[in-house]
Amino acid sequence: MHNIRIQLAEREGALVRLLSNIERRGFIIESLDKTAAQDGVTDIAARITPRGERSLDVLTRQLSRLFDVMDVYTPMPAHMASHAMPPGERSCRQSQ
Amino acid sequence: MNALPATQPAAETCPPMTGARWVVRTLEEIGVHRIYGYPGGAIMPVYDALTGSKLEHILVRHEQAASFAADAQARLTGKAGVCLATSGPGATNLLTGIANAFLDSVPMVVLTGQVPSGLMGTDAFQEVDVFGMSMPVVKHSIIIRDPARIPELLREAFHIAESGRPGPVLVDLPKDVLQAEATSLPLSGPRQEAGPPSASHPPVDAAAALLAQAKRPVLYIGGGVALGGAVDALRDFMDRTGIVAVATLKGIGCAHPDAENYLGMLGMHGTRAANMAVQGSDLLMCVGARFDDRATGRPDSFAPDARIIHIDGDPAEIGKLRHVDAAIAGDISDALQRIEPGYLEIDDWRGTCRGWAAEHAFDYDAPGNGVYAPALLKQLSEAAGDDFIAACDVGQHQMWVAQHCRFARPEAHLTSAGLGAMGYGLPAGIGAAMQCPDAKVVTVTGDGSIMMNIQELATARRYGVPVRILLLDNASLGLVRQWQEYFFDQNFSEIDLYDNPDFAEVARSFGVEAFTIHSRDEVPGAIERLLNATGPILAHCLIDPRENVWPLVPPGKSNAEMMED
Repeated sequence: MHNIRIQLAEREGALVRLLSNIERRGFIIESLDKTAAQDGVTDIAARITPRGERSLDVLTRQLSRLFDVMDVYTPMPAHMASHAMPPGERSCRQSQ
Repeated sequence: MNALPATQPAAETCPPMTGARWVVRTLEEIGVHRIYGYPGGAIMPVYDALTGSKLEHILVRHEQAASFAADAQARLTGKAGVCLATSGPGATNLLTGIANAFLDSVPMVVLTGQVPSGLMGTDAFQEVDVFGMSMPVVKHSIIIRDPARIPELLREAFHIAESGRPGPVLVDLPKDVLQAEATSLPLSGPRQEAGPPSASHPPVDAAAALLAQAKRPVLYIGGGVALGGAVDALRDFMDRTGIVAVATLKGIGCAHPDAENYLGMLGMHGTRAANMAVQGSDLLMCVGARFDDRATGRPDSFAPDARIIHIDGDPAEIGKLRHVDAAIAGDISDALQRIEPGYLEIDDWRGTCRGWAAEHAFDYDAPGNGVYAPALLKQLSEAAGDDFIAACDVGQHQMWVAQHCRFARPEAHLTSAGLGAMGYGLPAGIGAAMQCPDAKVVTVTGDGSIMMNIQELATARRYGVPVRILLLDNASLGLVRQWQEYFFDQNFSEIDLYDNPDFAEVARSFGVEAFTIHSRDEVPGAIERLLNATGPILAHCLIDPRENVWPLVPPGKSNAEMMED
């Protein structure tokens, strides 16, 4: 399980593009939080697990080249990530 | 990853125009001169606006051909090709071409009409979510919701398509946006995507040190060398170091074809010498390649004793499939110029590799009087010389072109490498011949592939495109038949095309000059007739259906386990 945090430009399709890339590149999204956009930018925090031997480092670079992605932060120990990433104003999990 | 939008002041005051006219005007201002497309309901406002514009619109007969032709133009120019189609089926027909451009990193801007904004999401007539459907195979995509933003967002689409690692960008245009009038347009400059960084000293020094220590180094050249504008730097590096080199399907033409230490293509249908060198290497210097499975065979047995230097313009490729010992993500040309290990002291290794190349050189002296396709292709490319451009379809003939044709530059080898899309050859040949009418553009196709886009003979005829079509007809799906012969116990399933039409008659019915050859003594005349043609021409060439592509690495096997005839 890895923690990953992505700073994303809030544009049409950006969230779907990001999440589909994480899955397509071989990772299961275990949990997910998204903040409301501020100045056109939103923060995504996710816990992800690789299917098989997929490198988090490579995924980070694959996500970084997406046009909507402004920054990717990882890896971070889980106990630190939970403090570093404030809970979003809107949680995808909570809304379900 | 991109910086936030840069605010540029260049707001223009313009008379009110429809969104469709803004599309056309912006394309003209960007410098687009030719687009490939097919009209239909939702995109009709753009077709209306095209009347009287400076843009040359090429009417294809299937939208997939528009995407392939635009792809070929882009590969030859390095500038984004443009294709245009309507919503629904027009858009879905483009998807194969978009995927083709994505997997081969080809810059392309794809314009699709869409149902009016208010109907989007209601399953309206000819509505599909092409924005969503194409997402895994585009570099980026945009739905333009505001006609006033068309100039800004179209410019952005071209910038994204052409910068960094190139790729296709889809722009979806709802019909109401195309019909609405916009007056003044806030025009901001393109977002600035950082160019590839220069190689920093530590990895360059590490790479040079690894090279200097290596006893059996091999340079593994991929398509990223051409994309990165690094062909000259690569050739200079090969001359300076005397390194032994191999290339992927997309890397063909990067090394000088006559370079003495160049062993040709590696991988599934690579040369025996190339695969032996890679398997025996103690250092593999991968430049602009991605360890694709067709190149590596079984990955855990690929170059098993080699340490790896990986240089790529796209940082995301580093370490994706193979651990690296020295990585340089950035400007390939710059990196190659800075790596200076001197002339490598590997005379024994060079001698060994050249010995393999001589021992396993292709034999063109095939028995019988029938046309031997590898020999024909070799003679054709040599007769065409440095003006030769091949637009391949997919199958045995595609591999024969890669093995036997001579390419003086990588752009001259148009091939659907990553996607392996049958049907690419004819529209790509049309796109290439329209872009380079003075070159010797030859579509090399098979009797399976040609039927995937044979309607484009009408396009070639309409515009008098000087595309020479060499149709190698073995009355079967040859590469599938070859696999069934060797890997499926000769259970030949659905590969027999015995009832093909007479392709020369078909071509003539489209108004395209055509002829048929059956025997080897007709080959020189056929080559001369093809190369001297000034308009579209088809040479229908019957070949032995039992002919196979050799060597062959069986699927799932190591590159050390090559099969020969």
